[in-house]
Amino acid sequence: MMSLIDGNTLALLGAAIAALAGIGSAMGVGIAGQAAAGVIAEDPKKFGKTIILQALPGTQGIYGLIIAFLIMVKIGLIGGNMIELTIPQGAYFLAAGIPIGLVGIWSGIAQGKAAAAALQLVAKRPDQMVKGIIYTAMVETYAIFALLVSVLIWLRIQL
Amino acid sequence: MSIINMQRIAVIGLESEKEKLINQLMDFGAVELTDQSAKLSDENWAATVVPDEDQETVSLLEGRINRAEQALEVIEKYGNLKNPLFKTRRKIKEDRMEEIISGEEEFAGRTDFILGLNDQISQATEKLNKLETDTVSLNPWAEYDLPLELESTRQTAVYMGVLPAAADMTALANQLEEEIGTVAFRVVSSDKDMHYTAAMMPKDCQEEVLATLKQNGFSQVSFKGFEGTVSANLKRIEGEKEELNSTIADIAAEIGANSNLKESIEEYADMLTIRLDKEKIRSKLLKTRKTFFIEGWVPARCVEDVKVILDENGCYYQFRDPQEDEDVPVLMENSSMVVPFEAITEMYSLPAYTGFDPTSIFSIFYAVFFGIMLSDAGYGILMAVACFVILKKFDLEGTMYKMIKLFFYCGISTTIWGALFGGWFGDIVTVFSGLFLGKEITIQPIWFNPLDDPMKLLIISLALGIVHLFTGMGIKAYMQIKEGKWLDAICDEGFWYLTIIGLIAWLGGGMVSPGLTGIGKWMSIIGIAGLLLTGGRHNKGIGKITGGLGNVYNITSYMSDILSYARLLALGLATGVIAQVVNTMGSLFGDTVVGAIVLVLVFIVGHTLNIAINVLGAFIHASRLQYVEFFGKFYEDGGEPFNPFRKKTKYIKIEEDK
Repeated sequence: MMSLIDGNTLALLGAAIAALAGIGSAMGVGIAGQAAAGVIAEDPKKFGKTIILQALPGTQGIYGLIIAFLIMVKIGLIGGNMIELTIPQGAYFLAAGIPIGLVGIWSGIAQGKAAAAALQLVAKRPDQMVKGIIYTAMVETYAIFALLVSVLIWLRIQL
Repeated sequence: MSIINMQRIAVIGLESEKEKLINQLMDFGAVELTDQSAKLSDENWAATVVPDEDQETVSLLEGRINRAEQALEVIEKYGNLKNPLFKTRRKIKEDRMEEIISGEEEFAGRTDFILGLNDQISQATEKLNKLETDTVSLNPWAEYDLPLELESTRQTAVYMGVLPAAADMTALANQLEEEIGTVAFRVVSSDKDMHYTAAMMPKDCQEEVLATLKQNGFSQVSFKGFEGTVSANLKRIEGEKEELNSTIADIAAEIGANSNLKESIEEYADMLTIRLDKEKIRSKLLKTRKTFFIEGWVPARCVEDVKVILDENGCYYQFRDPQEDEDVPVLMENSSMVVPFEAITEMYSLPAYTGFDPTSIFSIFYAVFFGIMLSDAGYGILMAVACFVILKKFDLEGTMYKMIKLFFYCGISTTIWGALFGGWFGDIVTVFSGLFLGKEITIQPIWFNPLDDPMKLLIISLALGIVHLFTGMGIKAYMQIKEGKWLDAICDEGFWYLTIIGLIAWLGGGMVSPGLTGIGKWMSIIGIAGLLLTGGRHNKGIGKITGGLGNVYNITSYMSDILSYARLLALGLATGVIAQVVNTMGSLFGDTVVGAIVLVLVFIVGHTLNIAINVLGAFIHASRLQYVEFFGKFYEDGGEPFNPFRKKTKYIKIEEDK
């Protein structure tokens, strides 16, 4: 059992956890998509406006991908041979993956709900769309901070 | 730079000059007339004046405009005209307008012509729908070979009808055979809902047969109005459908051939809109038998020109400054460089008339923040060039013009920051040269690469944030000082400046010079003491203490405001890293021909996506930093936009020929 856990598995776990932010984005984009379809049923011309709002909760997944990718590059999984990592080094990578992975899930869902509400706003007052976007983007702030923490941890890992 | 001063105007004129005055004011286009209906609830006013409006003419004109708009929609639908990327107003000469007015009948005729064709299409479509339903109801009976009008002969009766799919047809046939015998029962067809059946029998046993059928859920179907067999009918309907379809296609083609009428109908619609607005403005007029009365707002600088117009029409008038409780409309004025950023202010909400227009101040911050967040020179050049081309090619107006110009400036800023940080489509040059040229060429950043030293960019981001916030607080202090509230400016903003600068020097000053730590310590102590003592100065009793404590507690909100600027770093890194991910993925197939094709494809798709996501992100978050962090410090919003009486045309722009 213990032989399973070496530095490299921990680092890969970090990358995997970071990618979990996609859960939040998938759910958020899904929630927003349902609301968007409702708006389109009333007025198909609003497609361009609704697609922007639907895309907003998608960024968490991208942030997760960034961190997962950064970890994989640094440990040599992409474009080279895997470096032998010590257990603490692997644990650092794991720590780097957690902030964006976890925050991404919930902020994605919450942002999806805000986007759905903004879509209702677009249905009634299309001229006020930008305000809906700003409300939705407020949620994003915390995903951005999580991304920042993840990046800063990743940057400081010495190999 | 500022909000334009307005003057209140009140005019009394002669009814006989009214029309000319309205025309001239509309041409001048800088007077906003205000609604007068409130005055009518005053007895004295109500006894002498009545509102001047003509509902009939208004609704007549509205009807005509509606028809013209419908005709335009029809042309849009069948005309196959290429829609331009941006809708712009066409410029026309003033004398063309007179031609339109004198040729009104003809223009109305063109509208009717298009709508007439459209009516023909909808009639044909209606017939087509009817035939469609006929086909659907006949189709299951296609195998039925008796004429449909045949319901009985001298001795026999014929029934057609449906039974639910659940009914057992073999059992039913057997039952009929056993109980009655002399009946021909046939299942013509079946689908998942129904059995379509026909039964023929001698008239003397038709009651019995019907009773048995009905027990099994039979309901009769009749085809009144049809003659001949089903297949003959289906054939006829098919022919008619074809004919109708070709008629529709012909009419659609005719509309398409006449889509050159679009321009003249647009001109006609706009001419009517101008006339409608002139009629509508009359509802803001009060009149007696021989005179009329209007009130409104004029920008102070236009007062002299308006006076000339009023004198010319023999009006009696008065100008005065706005009073304190009046809702004065707001018109912002900025230098042409700053005008695009007004779009951001307008999106939030206009400043109150007594407030402050910060557009020119935040414009530079906006461009800088946007640039740091996108920070890729390749993307910046693409953006700036695209916006430049759009601005050259299209004669844009209003918000659209402002937005495109805004993105043009932001593109330039992005290019600068991208070059400073060394981002050119991520690291495409390094990837490409390493793969195909055999040695890695890297475009060195002019300043530094944020990925190598993120702490540096974080500190720069937060420092920019502090400058931004301090500017906002400075505006607040400026407004307070202007109102003579020196004490408030010192207590609310001065102590905070002292506290925040002091804390920074105390905590971080040691790195620059050891002396700063001590100075910072005392500055922050004095600042906090000041906040503690003065925070509750408007409260009474115990409130004086709690107010002070609450004031100091606000330090947390300042901290979170400042940390909010960390997004500059995070989004900047995100753009760069995604771009690198794209490039790395593109290079996975190596230095073969296939590899090169993959690299180009991944490059185009990946970077397009990255631009789309991050331009949206940079736009939103640069706006948010203005709205939440910056505006939150001082902004008084709620101004109504200045809406002068002018020609509000949709399709054409009338050029005055002088």
